[in-house]
Amino acid sequence: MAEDPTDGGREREISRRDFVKRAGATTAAVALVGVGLPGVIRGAAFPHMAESGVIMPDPGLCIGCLSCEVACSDVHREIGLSEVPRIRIYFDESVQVKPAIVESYGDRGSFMQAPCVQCPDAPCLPVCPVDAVRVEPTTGARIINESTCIACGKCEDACIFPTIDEARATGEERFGQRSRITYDETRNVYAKCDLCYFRPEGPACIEQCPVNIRINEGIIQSDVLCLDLAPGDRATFERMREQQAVPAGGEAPA
Amino acid sequence: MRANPEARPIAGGSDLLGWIKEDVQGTGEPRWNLLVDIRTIPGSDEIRFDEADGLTLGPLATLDAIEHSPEVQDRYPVLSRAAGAAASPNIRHVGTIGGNINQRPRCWYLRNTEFDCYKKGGNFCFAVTGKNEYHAILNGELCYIVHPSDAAPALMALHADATIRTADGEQTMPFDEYFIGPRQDVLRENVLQQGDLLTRIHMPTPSPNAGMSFIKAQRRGETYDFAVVNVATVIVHEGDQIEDASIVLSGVAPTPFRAVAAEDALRGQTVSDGLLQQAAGAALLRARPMTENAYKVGISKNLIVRSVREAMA
Repeated sequence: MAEDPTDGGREREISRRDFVKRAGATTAAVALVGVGLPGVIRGAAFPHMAESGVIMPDPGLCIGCLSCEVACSDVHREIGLSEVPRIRIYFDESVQVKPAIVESYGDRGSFMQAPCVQCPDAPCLPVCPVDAVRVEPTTGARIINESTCIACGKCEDACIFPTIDEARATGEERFGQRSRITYDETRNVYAKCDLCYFRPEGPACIEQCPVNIRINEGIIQSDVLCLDLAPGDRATFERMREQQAVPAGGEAPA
Repeated sequence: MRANPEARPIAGGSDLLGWIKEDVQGTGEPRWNLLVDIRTIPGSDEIRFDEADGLTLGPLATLDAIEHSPEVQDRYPVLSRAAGAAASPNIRHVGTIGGNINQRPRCWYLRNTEFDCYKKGGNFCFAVTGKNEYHAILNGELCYIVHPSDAAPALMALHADATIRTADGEQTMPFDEYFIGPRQDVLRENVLQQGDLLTRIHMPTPSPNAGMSFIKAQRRGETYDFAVVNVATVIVHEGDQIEDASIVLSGVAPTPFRAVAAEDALRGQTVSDGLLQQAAGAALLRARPMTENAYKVGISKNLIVRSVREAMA
């Protein structure tokens, strides 16, 4: 039986209008609840984005061993993605190393971890002209689809968290990093933290951090982990914004 | 060998047999049960010098033969001395140059089968929290081994090339690209994959103005030992004026470490105490010593200064 194209068209029209109306109501409701119950419904101010976890570092516990950087490269390489490390470790003399770390590791220097903050209102997302940056549904991570990325660099520019001068990175390799999104010239794509959404065990950096392992084993006494998975709420975002501010001056450590 | 992950080539066997006796194995490191003797390959132990072409070494040339080759002694003293600094006379008679640069690291956690470390396919570096007196001060990431070879820094200082045979055929690369760190692959120390062989080592004829030096600091002074730090230096100079510098250290990083910052600081300069201190300081600027090995930073700096002086003497 042939369908009446006009009818079908009207139906579609109605359902679209209906959808827009309903979506508007939901947005308003979510926004209201969000105001009333801060922290319960996360990302409420930006209902178009699912909530996300965040790699939450504690610079005072970092020993600059780069296990996180290498683990990140490894797991992404294994599944055929860019091997640019999505977390970087920098020298930062302003960081106060915690006594538990000095006790176990001596005077190794102080370091700052620079992960992606998975901003609640991720500015890297809307700027992508090909919708390659999107929200991964299970983890909420803001991820880049390497197969559609056209390497225009708009997301890198949009990122509001600059990295410290790469001359102060602890690793030898240089990736020309400026923000938490990095260009991979070998693959001609951009890469960012995706919270290892493809790993049932969760982010590889958290799992392989030797300080984390020692804390979990009770060898190092600490209430917090060197790298932890925190809820991607406003509170975390504000904390990260404070913590991840790039220190003044870009001199290499003497 | 390509088809069997438990097969290894054997030549001198001085490193490999120890590895087998210690039964080093893990998820990323199968127990070897098949050895293929490659000593019968004709010409694989050649040492050939040609003024125009430079020095060609077969990977199976013994350390002793290289140390005592008149051409090597005359034109490549840094290599002769590096070959002579390795191990003991007995081992140098059987040990080959290829084996020396491809030997496995000496990390005591790696060599002990009780510790399932990254290099054996595990997921922890025991040196980070354990005994790390002899571990890396530079470029350590994930795994903190140091490259144990005495010959490798000399080859790199001489800008030698490695030719390897892989499944895809022959390939030549500078030794600067031959060694790989834990970031590239924590299970190996060089580009060779299962079944690949190093087939030729070649280096250009050095400039007539090149001065060379090899210094090895070791724990047991007058007898044989692995280097705590060693440095191979080639300086091209006119009197006090440095034209070019090539400085490579072993014992400080997971691969032989080219002190690029020191080379850059010296190139085109007139030598002075201040300049040497500055160059050595620049080379070690990025050092991240562990709990027990900060002493290597000072040794490395002093060896760089001494070796440049010695090369220019």
